Amino acid sequence: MDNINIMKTTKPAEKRKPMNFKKKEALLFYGFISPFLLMLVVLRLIPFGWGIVMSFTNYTGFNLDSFKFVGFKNYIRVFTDSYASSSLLTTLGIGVVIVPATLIIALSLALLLNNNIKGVGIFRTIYYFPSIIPAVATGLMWRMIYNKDGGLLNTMLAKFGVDPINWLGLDWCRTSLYVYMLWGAGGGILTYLAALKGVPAELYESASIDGANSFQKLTKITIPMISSVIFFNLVNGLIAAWQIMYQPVFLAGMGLLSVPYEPNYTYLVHVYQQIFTSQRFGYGLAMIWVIFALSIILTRTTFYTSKFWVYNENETENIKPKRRKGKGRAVLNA
Amino acid sequence: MKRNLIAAILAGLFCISVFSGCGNEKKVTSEQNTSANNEVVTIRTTIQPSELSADLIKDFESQNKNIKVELVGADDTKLMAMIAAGTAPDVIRIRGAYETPSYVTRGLALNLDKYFEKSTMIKKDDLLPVANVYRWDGKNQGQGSFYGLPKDFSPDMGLWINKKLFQEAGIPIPDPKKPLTYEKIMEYSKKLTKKDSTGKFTVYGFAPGEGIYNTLTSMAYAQLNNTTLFTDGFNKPNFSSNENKKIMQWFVDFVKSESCVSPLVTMPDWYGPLFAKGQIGIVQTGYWYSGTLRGDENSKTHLEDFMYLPAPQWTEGQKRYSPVAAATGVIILRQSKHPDEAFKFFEYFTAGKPSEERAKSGWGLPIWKSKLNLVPQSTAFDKQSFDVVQDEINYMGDVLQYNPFLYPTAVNALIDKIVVPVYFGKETVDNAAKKLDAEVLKLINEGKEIAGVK
Repeated sequence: MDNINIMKTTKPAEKRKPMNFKKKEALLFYGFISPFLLMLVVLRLIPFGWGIVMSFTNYTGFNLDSFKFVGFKNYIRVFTDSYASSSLLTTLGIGVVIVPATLIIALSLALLLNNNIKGVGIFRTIYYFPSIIPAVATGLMWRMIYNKDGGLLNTMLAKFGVDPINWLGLDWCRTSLYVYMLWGAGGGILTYLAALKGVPAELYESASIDGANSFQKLTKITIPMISSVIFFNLVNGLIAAWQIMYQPVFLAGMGLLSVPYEPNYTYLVHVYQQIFTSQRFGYGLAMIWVIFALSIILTRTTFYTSKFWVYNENETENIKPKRRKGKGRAVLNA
Repeated sequence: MKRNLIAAILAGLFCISVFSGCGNEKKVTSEQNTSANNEVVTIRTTIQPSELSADLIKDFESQNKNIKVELVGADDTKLMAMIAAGTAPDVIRIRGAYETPSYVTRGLALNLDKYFEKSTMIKKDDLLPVANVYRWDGKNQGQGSFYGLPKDFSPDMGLWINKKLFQEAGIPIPDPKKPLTYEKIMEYSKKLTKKDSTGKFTVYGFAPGEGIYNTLTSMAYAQLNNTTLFTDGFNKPNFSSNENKKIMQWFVDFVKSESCVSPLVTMPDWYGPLFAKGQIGIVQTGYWYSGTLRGDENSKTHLEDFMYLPAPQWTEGQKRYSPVAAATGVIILRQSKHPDEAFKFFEYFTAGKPSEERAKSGWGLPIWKSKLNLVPQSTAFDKQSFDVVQDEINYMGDVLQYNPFLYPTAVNALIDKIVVPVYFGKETVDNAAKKLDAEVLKLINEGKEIAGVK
């Protein structure tokens, strides 16, 4: 006991050094994002890496006895499989129509809904509504609408003397798919509306004084001013276009193993078929990596073109950080 | 700052608890339980709730105190994922007629011979020949070891007809002792089909219960015509043979005539309620459908309007054959941690009280000779349909020879891709048959590689 007292008296208690602000901030930051990081690593990055490894194997789900690495065989097969190339062309064909059409429809709707007229809120809800309905429900709904016998569309057309059309058949299924997909185009109006609200009113006033008409205001003011949001929706649309799968499948039948007809047989449908009907896990994963690479290339190309047509109010891309010699801190080259 | 730190930690803990809560569903798997020291073992199965009631599960569990039964809902996609992940149930429901070979060659089905030898409930002498679909000798289905048993069965290519619609169409009621020919079916179907002034179908002539041209029907129809879809010991597909092309052509002609349900003529619902309502003339499906007719509000009051007919023939006087196309039943997963307990449940389900209840319900025929007398025979409708199936049993000897290296869903997907354009006039039967041969051959070669067969 005495010794302790001596210690206390001879060696005064060292005051804990207060944690500096940066450390506290970092701790706080990592504390908050740790669950997300954990999820990212466990549910995304590990399966991601595992997917790459499996794409180089002959894995079929239960062939552990004969499981082996097959090198680039699966990747070579992607380019020799006629169904892979035809389904890729189908996907491109659908994307070429759907992406611009979705952009135009959503922007047009947003322009209409940007007016302060009575009841506009109801219309905003109506147009946005399709994007919050579960995919299975919309698939079932559109099948009921398109059904040749007793379907809503044919029943309506019959009143005008039109014979029943097989909307889900080989000849019409692509058109039916376009309508089904464009029905959900209103999902983009939310971002467009937000962007439209940000366009300064004085620009329009000045243009009016200069004698600009509505079309000129649209093309010279509105579209350039919201071009960054158009760009955002374009990139999202392009990425989504590579992944078109559930809409063609639901139009073909209500099971995920339903096989869409050739005009709607997209690349991801083929991937799904390879994995879940033929148990070609390795090959299916190789197909996914190929589409991933294509998707990256197209997205990067789109980003490259953005400097020619996207207007950024804060041109931050020209402000490059410059490192001070000997200091690990970046300063803005203002 | 300290307060912020505490808040951050609490936020982190909250998030972790929420995320862990997502996966906190108490899963009692057979892996977690061991029977070694009288602990309770849970046997998981994909048998559907309609096939095994909660009361029957309770009955089994009361007789086997150390075994619990858990029903696991899983379609083909989910089951494949579960098998790949090593979390598949112990007892798996399969359509034995065409899935047994692929499950056995992929090493997923447990050989049940030694269990059958010891079993007091399963007596091989009492089994009807249809049980042989769950046998495999390494080369042929129908011979060798047992890998499972059907829960019940039906002669699946039989025909249900609506006598009233036949009379209205001026078609004589067929003799139930004599099979119709496929030529007659197409002829009758055209006569039975009716549309209203807007072009909407009011009566569909023919609905193929097992689907239009697909893995199952192409194989069954081939065997009905004394031919096969494969040659060289399952090593090569044979869709291009003249006999098989003739079958495909028959389907194509039938579809194009728009007198049968197909991609050109779609129904707003499945055939069950529509036939009961009197909107379909002929349905090709199993005896099990008598259960639907007995229970449906639209048919149960006038069952005498319906009639069951034997499986058709391609030509009159041809050797009769009545294929069992599904023979849905159960196998035990070879990887099950508790095969003994799984077998106890297996024998209860296939030979115990559930099998008797199924026989009495008329939803299928029992696989046990001693239980055939339990099938409903009280009404004229019951007697007529039972007479036909009793006769059909004599023509079920051969099992469908399905290719062990192929998985049916994969072939069906190919058929959908390749044959459907023929219905729409975008492809010819010749080309489609050639394409099918080429694509199915690839699948066979892959299947052989997986099974380690050269």
